[in-house]
Amino acid sequence: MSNLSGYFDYNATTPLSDAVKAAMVDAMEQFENPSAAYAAPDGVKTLMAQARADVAALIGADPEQIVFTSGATESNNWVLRSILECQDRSGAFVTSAIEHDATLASGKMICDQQGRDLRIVSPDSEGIVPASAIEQACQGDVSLVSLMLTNNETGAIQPVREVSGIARQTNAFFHVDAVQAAGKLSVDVSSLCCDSLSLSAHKFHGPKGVGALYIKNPDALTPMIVGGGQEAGLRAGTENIVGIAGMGAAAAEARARLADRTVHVHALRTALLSELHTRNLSFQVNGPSDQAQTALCTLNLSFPGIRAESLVARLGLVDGIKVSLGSACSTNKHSRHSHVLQAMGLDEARLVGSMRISFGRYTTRGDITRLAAALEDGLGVFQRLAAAE
Amino acid sequence: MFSARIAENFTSPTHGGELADPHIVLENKDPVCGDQIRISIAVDDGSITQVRFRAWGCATSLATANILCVWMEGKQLTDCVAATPEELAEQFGTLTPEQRHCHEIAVNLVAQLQPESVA
Repeated sequence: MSNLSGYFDYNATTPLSDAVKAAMVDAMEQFENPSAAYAAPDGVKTLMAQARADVAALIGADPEQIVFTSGATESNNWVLRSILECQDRSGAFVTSAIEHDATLASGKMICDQQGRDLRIVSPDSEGIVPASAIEQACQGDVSLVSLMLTNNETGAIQPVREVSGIARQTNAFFHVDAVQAAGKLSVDVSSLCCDSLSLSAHKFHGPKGVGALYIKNPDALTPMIVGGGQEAGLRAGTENIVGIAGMGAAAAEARARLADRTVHVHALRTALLSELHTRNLSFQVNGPSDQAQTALCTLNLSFPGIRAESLVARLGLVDGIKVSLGSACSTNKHSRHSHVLQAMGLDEARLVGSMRISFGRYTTRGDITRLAAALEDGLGVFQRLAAAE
Repeated sequence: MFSARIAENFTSPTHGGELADPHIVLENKDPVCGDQIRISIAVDDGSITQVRFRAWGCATSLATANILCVWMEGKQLTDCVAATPEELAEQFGTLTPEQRHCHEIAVNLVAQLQPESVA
């Protein structure tokens, strides 16, 4: 494993684990086409069946309900296009203002093209979309409701179970984007009562470019790609065997390590907050105040009086520390703030001062001290440079 | 993301601070991104002897503020007044589209200089 001591961007992507790498290397020997008639007990069909079973087990699904895709972006787009474009449904599309663009941008495009009613529900100031607000938006004819399980920027866990009941009452199809939850939190599709759920392997130490879509009733969706009949006819094309093997291994490992992981990230989060307080640094947490409503691997902070863009750049250039920026640099004409934090109603100072820190499997307690020290140093530098302001 | 020149001036600024009794003070705030730079200048017999900056902004903004100070220090005031936007751009090196507003801030700052700025 390469040096990960300064890596605090696990929500963006995660490194391949050794077990995943080994599974992928093994799969490279499996050159045969899974659609071929010949079968071997240790062949590519067995490999795919095991991977499908492991991914299904991660979210409490049946293997037959799992379709491998290129990732959650494809999975989300597929559901939206299938429900809104390919089926005889004319009702509204209800979603939240804090969704990933894989949902928001594609939903806006489709609804604009069709003149379809798009209802975007805002979160509260802690980043949680109230189920009551979704219920209010679900009045009348609704075709599709889509909600993320965990927000990628704040870690806010959304009331998916409650919303599933609301969607069911309106006879709408209910999709869940679980890309930031799968492998990090306990996810059970039966408990969530969703019709579909998307995930990406690289968020839980699997490879990039492979993901899955859970479909409760595979007949409910039109095919994503038509061709050779792979993936039960829902997504044609010879399968990405190496990627799928990696995803299966990552899912099995994530499931086995879930309890330990929860304890680990909780300890890291507590330690960082403690270190920041001990160093008398001024900051605000953007997200739920209740830890029970937060994916604890995510910590979104605002530092008052600081442009986080500079702080993030300094962390990278001086300290070799990688965190994510809430609001990117502005061009001459457009400011580019996080749409999630904006939807939460944060003021300008808090928006420009925000950064996302996300922990993971390889983050150590020593890394936390290093990050806190670098933040203290950087904040001091920028406060001195801006002293006259 | 950052050129070596921008990175160096951002991470190791040599001219941060403020002069106690400056002859000239230049200030500019970008109306969109909010970047703010304040430059204090000491002049002796038409020559710029010392320049310091205060800044709140993005990494490139802080770096260009430092570069601007280094560029001005030791020059004749009249030479700085006569400087073109292209001459300033050369000091900063290649900037990405997202970074070019920092050049505009610098141009706006230098445009505030007048030959008669110092009595």
